[in-house]
Amino acid sequence: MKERVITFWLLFGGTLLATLSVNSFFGLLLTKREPFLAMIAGINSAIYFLGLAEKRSDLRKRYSHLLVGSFFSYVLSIYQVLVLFSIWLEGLLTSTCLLAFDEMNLPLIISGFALSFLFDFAKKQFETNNL
Amino acid sequence: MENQADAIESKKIKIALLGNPNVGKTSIFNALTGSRQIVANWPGVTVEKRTGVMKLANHTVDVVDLPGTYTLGATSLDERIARDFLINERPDVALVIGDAVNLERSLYLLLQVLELRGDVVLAVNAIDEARKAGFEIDKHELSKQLGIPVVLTSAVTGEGIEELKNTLIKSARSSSHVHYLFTDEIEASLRNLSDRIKGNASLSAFDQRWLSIKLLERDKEVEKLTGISLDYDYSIEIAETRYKYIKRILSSSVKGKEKIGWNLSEAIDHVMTHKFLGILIFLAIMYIVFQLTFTISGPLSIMIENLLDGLGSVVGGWIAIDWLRSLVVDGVIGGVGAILVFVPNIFILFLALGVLEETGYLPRAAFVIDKLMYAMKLSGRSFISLLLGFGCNVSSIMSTRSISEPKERLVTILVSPFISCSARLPVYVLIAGTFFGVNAGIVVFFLYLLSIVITVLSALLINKLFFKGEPSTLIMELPRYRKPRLTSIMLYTWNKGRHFLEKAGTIILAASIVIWILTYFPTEGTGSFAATIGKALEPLFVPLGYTWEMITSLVFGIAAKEVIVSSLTTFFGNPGVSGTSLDIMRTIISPEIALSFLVFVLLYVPCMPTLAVIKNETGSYKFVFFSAFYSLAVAYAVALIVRVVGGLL
Repeated sequence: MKERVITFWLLFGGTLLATLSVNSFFGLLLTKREPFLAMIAGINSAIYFLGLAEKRSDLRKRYSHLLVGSFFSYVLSIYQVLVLFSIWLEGLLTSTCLLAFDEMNLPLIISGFALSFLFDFAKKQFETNNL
Repeated sequence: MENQADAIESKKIKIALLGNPNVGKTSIFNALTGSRQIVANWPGVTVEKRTGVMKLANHTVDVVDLPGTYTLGATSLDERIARDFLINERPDVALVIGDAVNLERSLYLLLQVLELRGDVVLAVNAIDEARKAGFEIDKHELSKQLGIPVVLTSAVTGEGIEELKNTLIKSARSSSHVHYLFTDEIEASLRNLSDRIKGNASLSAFDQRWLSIKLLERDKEVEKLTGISLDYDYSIEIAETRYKYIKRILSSSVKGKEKIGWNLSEAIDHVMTHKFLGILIFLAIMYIVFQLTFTISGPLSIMIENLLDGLGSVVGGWIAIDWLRSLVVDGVIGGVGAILVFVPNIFILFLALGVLEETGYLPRAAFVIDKLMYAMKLSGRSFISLLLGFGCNVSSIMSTRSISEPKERLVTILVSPFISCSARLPVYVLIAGTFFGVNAGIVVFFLYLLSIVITVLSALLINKLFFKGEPSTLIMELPRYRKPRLTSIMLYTWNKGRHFLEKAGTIILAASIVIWILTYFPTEGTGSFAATIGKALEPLFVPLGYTWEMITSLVFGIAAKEVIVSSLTTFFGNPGVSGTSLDIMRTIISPEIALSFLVFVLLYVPCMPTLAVIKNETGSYKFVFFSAFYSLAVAYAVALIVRVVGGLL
């Protein structure tokens, strides 16, 4: 991947997670207000953005931010799915539907799973010793 | 060779497992003996020797797993355990486990073992990972060069385990003792020293050459043993000779592709150990762990609660005598059940911590925190011990044996009880869930953060007041990141969680019966012995606003922290008042008092087993009393602040 492309993905990931962080903090779109989850998404955003602070010429350092950042996004979406699962199970046991669209934080889940492809790509770069 | 193995059938064989930290000794131990000891992807899992039995055909072999060590110099307690075992117990075979990916350092320890004794077998472990990384190890060449049997193994895939078992049996009667030569000057000194030692009859049981080498390395224990102290130090020259020898061996027996750039672990570490991001990522991970502990266990706890309610109703229906029904239903099922409801929380916490250990993240966390810890006069090694305290303070205190600096070790022991162990989690879940609803997870997370803050501040204070000096530097190899294995994580979770279940069936069951008796006699409720105890102490707790039920539960909680939960549910489960015990608690206690109570539970006197292990590890009651009274004072002060500030908000 060329240097410019990595820069694009770092910017994309950072901006996306920063947006999701604001979304979760204020509970704007398809999510309830979750300040702590917002902070975690903010940290994820910082992982991407600090990749931009690495030297342009040092591709492997930039790649490592992309690698960890995208994995972290993936973990966040899995975390959210697990939380949803437990809410659903609790509802099942108490015979009440506890799931609501706002509980799901769909933007975070979808973004995490989408970014997992980026993680897979970045991982391959290191495994095949290209960097 | 088969005949050879049969010939030693009647002899009891003892095998010692040695190796650098985190090379998979415990995995090999489990594979050889069929044991289920906890394996983790970080150094220092084994802090004391463990024994298992290996059975092969007609042979029964005692296998002893020794703590990880880089040298036989024995600078820390766990390293000394390994060395003393080799010298004093004289096992029939010393099995050195090496890391196939990092063979150089493993061979350094092997050479020191070979300097000490014969009958050594080398198992080159993680051969699957080495192949993946592009290394090829010629075991025949390695064996020829070293003059000892070499087996390539993988504890993960099981490769080479059977071969290793057979080799160990056969090696028990060979007595090859390999020597390699140092420089002429060192060899001359070794000869002189050996002659001096030979004249000392009390040292006849030791290998003279080994003692001489240790004297040239200025080993304090050997100097004391022999009564010989030299005014020159050859440790650097001796180390150089060993490394030259190792390089020669490796050049002919290991082939590997040239390393270009970073591997995956190095790439991940660039971010995970970043000076700013590292701490933020650590906090984020811990938050996720505690949130998961709280949310996922919710429905599972409901299931257990429903089961126990059903059991209580059925058993209650069978018993006609009032007091006996109350004892069985309220005392035993209610008391123990109050704890069992939190089994999912405990297991999920250990599952999450198991994943972090197995992946190799925890040593990175120690590395990241090291700078902060150093400012508090502790090292990252202390942090690893403290981190174990999230499971149990007892294991945390025992793991301090790997801290080489005695003062630092003592400070770590004294502050370890402030780390929030899993036994306190049920209390948090019960109180936070009752009083803080959807914010309960955040309250629990903050309690864990508070426990770290108080631990660090206490370390600073104790260091300032009683000890001067610098902490030991953290020298720790960061293990490779590994994909967590389900069996390993399940084993870890079960081994850790089982302790909680065992406690529920023993100490908590006994405590529940005692609590019931104290609550039921001489008269139920405010006239009971339990109420008398609580009311006698009530004046001391007036500033904190605690009721006698809360105070008595704190007293009982010194036996085991979980008992606080069974005490509270028994005390507040007043049949004269409608609603559940939790509803009753909510009507009596305000949220700021509940939060203050949680803080008090977090910080007050360590449980009995922790106090006992403090006595064992420090060898003095002075530190036991210090720990008990200091923690009580801190708990009171911080809980009071929380109550006052909470009341103002």
